[in-house]
Parts: sequence; structure tokens; C-alpha cells
Amino acid sequence: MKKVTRKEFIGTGFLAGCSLLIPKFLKATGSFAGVQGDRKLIVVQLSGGNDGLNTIIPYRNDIYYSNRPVLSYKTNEVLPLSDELGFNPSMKSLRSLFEKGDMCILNNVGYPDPDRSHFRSMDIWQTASGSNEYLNSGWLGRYLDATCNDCSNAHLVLEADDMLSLALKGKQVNGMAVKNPERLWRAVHDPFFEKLSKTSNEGHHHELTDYLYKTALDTQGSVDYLVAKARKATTIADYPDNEFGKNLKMISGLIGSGCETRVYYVSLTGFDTHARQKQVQERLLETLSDGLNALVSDLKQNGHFNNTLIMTFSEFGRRVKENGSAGTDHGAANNLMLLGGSLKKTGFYNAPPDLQNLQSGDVAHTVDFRNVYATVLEKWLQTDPSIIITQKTTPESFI
Amino acid sequence: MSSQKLFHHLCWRSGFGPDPGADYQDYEVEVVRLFADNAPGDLTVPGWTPTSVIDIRAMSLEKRKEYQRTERQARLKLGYLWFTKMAAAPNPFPEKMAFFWSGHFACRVNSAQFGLRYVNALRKNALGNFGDLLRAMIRDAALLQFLNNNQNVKGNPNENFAREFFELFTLGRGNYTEQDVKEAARALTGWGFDREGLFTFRTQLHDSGTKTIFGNSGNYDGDDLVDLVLKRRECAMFISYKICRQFQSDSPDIGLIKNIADALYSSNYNIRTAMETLFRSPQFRSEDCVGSKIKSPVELLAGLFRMFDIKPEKETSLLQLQRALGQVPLNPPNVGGWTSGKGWIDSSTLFFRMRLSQLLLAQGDVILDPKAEFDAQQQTIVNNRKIKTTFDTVKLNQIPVSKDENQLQVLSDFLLQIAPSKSVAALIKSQVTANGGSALLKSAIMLMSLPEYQIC
Repeated sequence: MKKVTRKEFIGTGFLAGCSLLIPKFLKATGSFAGVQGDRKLIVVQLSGGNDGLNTIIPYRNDIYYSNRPVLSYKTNEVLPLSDELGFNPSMKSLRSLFEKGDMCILNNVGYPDPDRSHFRSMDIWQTASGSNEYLNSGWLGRYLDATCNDCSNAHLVLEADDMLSLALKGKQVNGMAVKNPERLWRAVHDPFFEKLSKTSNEGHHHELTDYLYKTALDTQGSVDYLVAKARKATTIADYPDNEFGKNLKMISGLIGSGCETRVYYVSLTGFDTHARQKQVQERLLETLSDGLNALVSDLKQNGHFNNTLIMTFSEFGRRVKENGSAGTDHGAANNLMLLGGSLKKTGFYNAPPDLQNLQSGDVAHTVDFRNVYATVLEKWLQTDPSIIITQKTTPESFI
Repeated sequence: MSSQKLFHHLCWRSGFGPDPGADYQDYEVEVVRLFADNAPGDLTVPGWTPTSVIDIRAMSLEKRKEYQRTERQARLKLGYLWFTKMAAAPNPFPEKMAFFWSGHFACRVNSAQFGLRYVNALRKNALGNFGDLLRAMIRDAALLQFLNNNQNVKGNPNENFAREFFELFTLGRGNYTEQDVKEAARALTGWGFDREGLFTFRTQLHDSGTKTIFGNSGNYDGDDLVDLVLKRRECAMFISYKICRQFQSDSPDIGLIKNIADALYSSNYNIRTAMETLFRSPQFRSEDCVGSKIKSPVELLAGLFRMFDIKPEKETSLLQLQRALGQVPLNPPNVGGWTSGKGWIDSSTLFFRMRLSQLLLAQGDVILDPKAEFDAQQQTIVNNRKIKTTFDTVKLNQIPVSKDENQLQVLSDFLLQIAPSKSVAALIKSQVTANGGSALLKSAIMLMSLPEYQIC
């Protein structure tokens, strides 16, 4: 059956002047079906395996101190969040958000039979697969498939990068990767492509060629749309002066200028701290913390904070016991941070990691990350998670 | 279909496009030519002396860094060497076949020494017997390491290798049970490798008890596993499907898959027989088959490199291009290997792919800014690279154009497997005549900037 586009639908004569009959989803947001209001999701990927135990520190736990003679933070250095847990000293700006109730922290998020390879575990997180399951599409790509069947708006799921991560690749449609909208604009409006896009491709009934021409045209449309929004964007906050800061600033600007993108995806890399962890991780956590703080400040300023959910994750946490070169090796379950103005639960969602009962020296998971995704899909993006996540999920109650 | 079109079809599918200087006989002769070369000799990495893999945990930080740097350099060279071999070999078919197997036996190579052995094992067996190839692969250090078989020991089996052996290498999902996986893992216990990357059978770690696989019982080891699996027709079907998806179409013909499976099974898994059957099949030679595949990034890039003898200034430049296109040889995204068909296309990569000929041939620098790797130290090196390449137009000038022929038409027939629409052709014609410069090169660049060039 041919899908009816919004334009065709609304253009149909009998609907004119009859707006009460237009289904809610069309009225509310235009081309994207199924999402209530103007909700945004921003996923922040911490690549390399962030050491969760030195991010949110169990500063009253003797096991933590005995396993980390070099890497532990003294009680008086930690920024306390509860009687048991506190932030890394470099995360001052996030602590103020935590205190304001803008944040929820999930401990021990992971999956059964954890894989300690970066690539494999990142695939598991990005595709929402089990550890013995190999999927070629990502959870956000499948979300795009589910809500935007046959639609041409790749930019509804947008990654701030030059290359698209697996997480944003669907079975039918792919999201879009843009780091610098103006640069991509120049590429797609190269004089030759510009002329090509205005040239008829008729007499050419070849499925693959037609598909490529259509993708190229749709991309031009998406890029034009994004550039128009980006040119109108204004941000006030100070973002860290690095790639991550620039990417967050772009996202913040797009949201502020009313861009219809639903899901944004951004990465901060370098967390694979096998050696000299403290200095490397502190610098990264400071960037993360200051960046998110700036983003939240802009979102509050432009009234979008209540419509936005920010979620961080990393492919795994790190070994509880430090190694011989002032670093840590690959581990398993990890904490995950949520920020937003509409969280149902703020502060700590669940109990701290149980360092007495480790699995092969690593923190055991008590929350399955696919249940976290399912919660975000169902309660935030209002999409049935069962069509996106293969395994059966039970939603959590943070939203 | 014209004989030239059919020849170009064969050239693209068996290699990386036609060579203008090639002296084309008839189709049957060309098929025979593909198989004329014996297995290519081993690759060696010049200027690199393989050293045994050392336990880096025992090293000082400085030593470890130095060791890792040398290793990285050697792996880079290996990838560079193999790719340039693919692009430049007079008959690229054996190399392309080996590359296909590197997607089938997908392995992320972490050691140059192991990687070199892995590549050479694939190249040696690429057109030989699939059973021999399987036996080489279950002894291959890079693959054993990648799939954790060194941790697969008696009493505490690691099922990773055994599972992929069935799921990805031989049978495909649904053709074995979980119990078969468990028992196969036991058969592979003690199959390991030494620091030189040589296979070692560690008797004391091998489970020599009775295993039951597909209902047969015995004191099986890895070689028995190969024999058991080859007896199953499902194996021939699975390998045939993979071959057809690579060489015939992104959605291969089911009749052809069956025929090639039969050819494989009845020839005791002779890969050459399977490929001859494929190239001679009516399905492969049909009009529908031409242009039914989206080029993989390696096919796209090697095609351009081959046609214009492109040489990157640095080995890392090639790596950057491959990364930006999304396919780095010896570095598949996961054990499942690379994607295929439309999986290669998303909005940003499509435009990068369409601009590639312009970037490489119109003297423009390619500025790439892909995601940094996990290692913080690499971040600054990787970002914002400028890539410089050289090229020549010798081959382009060899494309035979007789005086009364329409040059653009000839060029288009040579470079594209799917002819552009009349209005697109007219657009190119108007662009070429509107501005000065070498009309031939300009026409070629524009033709290769079309979506049609993404297809073979």
C-alpha cells in the first residue's frame, strides 16, 4: 500500500477547513508521527569505556579504597551527592544540576554475559542486542524506521559527526550525520550537484539508481532545512572550546531555533584509560560536565529544558582493581546519567554498585540497558519498544 | 546486451572495472583468463621484520609505546600493500576473492605478524578448496585470537569461536542447535597459537572426551568439525548464498544459489568450480544483473585508483579515505563482517562518495574529520587531515574513441554500468562545452560524480 504523505493528506479537499478531524499527530508536529509535544532526546556517548567508579565515587566504601591505592579520590576531594556517592572533583558544574533536581543517576547498568571488547560492547549498546546476538541496525535507526516509515527526513535522527554511527542506522532508513551544516551545505550544493538535482532523471526506471537519486535529493532537502535552522540559532552559554563543546553548541542552537529533529547523538572520546587515568579522565569529565551544564543552561533559557531528555552512556565501566600503570582495564556494568526538566525520579535511581559481589572483578549489572532504552522509547518518545528492541523489556520508572 | 557491456560487467564483478588497454576476446575466453593465475605468492611488508608478539604488560611505558607504534605502522603498511595490490594487479580477481573471504571470516587484526599470516592464508586458498580454507582458518592466530579460542580450554570452554564457526563461517542461523555449539566448542578446546602466530595444539588443554554433533558421536577435534560440517548441504547453500550476494546481486537469485550450492557440494567444495558456474550462469549474464549492486567502498575506491593510477602521498591518507567511506580492510565493524547493498549508503556518505572523483582528480584537497578512535592520544592526529594524492590520465586517454563517435557517449559506456538519462547526459555535455580545460577529464569526473557510478 502506498503511504500517504502529510502534504497529500492535508491537501485532500474534504479535509480543508476541517482541522478538528486531522489526527493529533499530524496537527501537533508535522511529518513525524507518534510523538507528543515537541520532545527531544540527546544521547551522549562516552567512547572508550568511562571509569564509572571514579566518575560517581563510592567515597565511604573500603573496598573501593583497597582496590585503588593510586587512583582513589580522598573523601574530602569528592563532591558528595549522597551519604555514599559523590562526583569526581572535576564535575563541579554537574553537581549544581544534581542539586537542583535536574538529574537522575542510574547505577549498575549493563547486560548479561558482558563483552569486554570496545567494538563488540559498543555494538551491543548501539544495536540494543544481547551479547550473543548480531544486529546490523541501531536502536535509534529502528526508531526512525518505526515512526517515519518511507519518510525522507533523515535529519529527524541526527548525529553531530561526519560519520554515522551504527546506532542511527535503521533497517529501512538511516539517520543523518552532520558536524558542520555549512560544510555539508557547500558539498551538496556543489555547482554540478545543484544542476543535477534540477535535471530530470526520467526514462530511467532502475531501482537502485532511483534510490540513490532520491537519497541525494532528500539529503539536499535535509541539509537546506538544517542550515536554515542553524543560521537562525543563537546560544548564550559558554561551551568548552573543543569538538565536543562545538557539537553541543550546534545541538543547542538547533533545538533553540525550533528544529524538528527528535533525536540528537553526540560522542566524547578518549575514555580508554589504561594508563595515567587521573589526568586524562579528569579533563574529559570536566569537558562533559561543563558542556552539559552549558547545554542545560541554554535549554532552560529558551524554554526547551522540559521537553528535553539527555542520556549519557559508555560501552562498559572499568575494572574495580586498578592496574600497574595508574590506569584501569575493561570492565562491565556502569552508571548512566539522565538530565531533563521532566524526570519523574531525580537523584539516585537505585542502589550503588555492590563491590562485595563482583563478577570476574567487575561491577555486576542490576539494570539492563535495554530496559532503559525501552523506558525512553515508550515513556518519552511514545513509541512501542517491542518493535525496536528484540528482547522483551520491562520499563523503568525514571520518566 | 552488447559484448562490451557484458565484458565490463565481468570486469566489475570479478575485479575493479575494465582496463582501457585490455584486449577483449570473447566472454568464454575472458572467464578462463580469470582463473589463469595460480594462487598469488605471499605478501611481505617491506622494511618490517616480524617479531614475535610480546606480552606488553611486562614492558615499561616507553617500551610499550615504541612497540605499539611499530606494530601500528606495520599494520598500516599491510593494509596499504594489500589494497594497492587489489587496485593494481593485472588480474585482480584472486585478490578480490581473498578480500571477499576476509569479510566472510571477518577478523579485526590486532597484530601485524598475525595479520600477515591471515591475509596470506586467505590469498592462498581464495580459489582453492573451501575445506582447506576452513582448516586454515581454524588454525589462524588472528582469527583464533579475535574469537577468544585461546581461552577455550578443557573444563571451561569459551564458545565464541564455535558459535561463529556455525553461524557465520559454514551453516548460518537455524541449521545447528545450541547443543551443537557447546559440543563444537569442546572439540576446539586447546586449539591455540604461539607468539609467532603459528598454530599450536595444546594437548593438555584439549577435551578428548566424546562429543555429539549433528547426532554423530566421537572424540572430535577441529578437523573433524570441518568434515562434519562439509557433509551438510546447508553449508554449501550458505557459502553459495554469500558468494551470490557478493558477486551476482544484492538480492541474489534463489535458483542460482541452488545451482552453485550443487556445484560446490558435488565438487567437494571447489571454490573455483563455484565461481566458474557463477560467471557462466544465465542469471549472471542477464541484463538485470548488470548494475544490480551498490559498490562497496573498497570497490569504489579501488576502481578509481585502478583507472587513474592514484597514489596517496602517505599510507595514512589511504586509511583516512577508507575510514571516511566506512570500509577499512582487515578492520571489519564486527564478526558479522561488512554490510552490503543499501547498507553502504546514508546521506553524508553518499555525497562523499559522489564527490570522491572530484576530490581525488580535480586537485582539491580532501579534508576529513571522522570520529576519533577510542584512544585519547590519537585524537589530535586523526582529526582534520588533509589528504594529498597524485594521479595520471594515461588509461583515460586509451579509451578508444573513433572520430565519428560521440566522445561523451563512449566515455559514459566505459565508466558507467547504467546509462544516465538523456537529460543528465545533456547536462554533462553542456557543462563540458561551457568551460575550458581538458574536456575528457572533466567529462570523466562528472560521469563519476553521478549516482550511476555508485553502482556496478
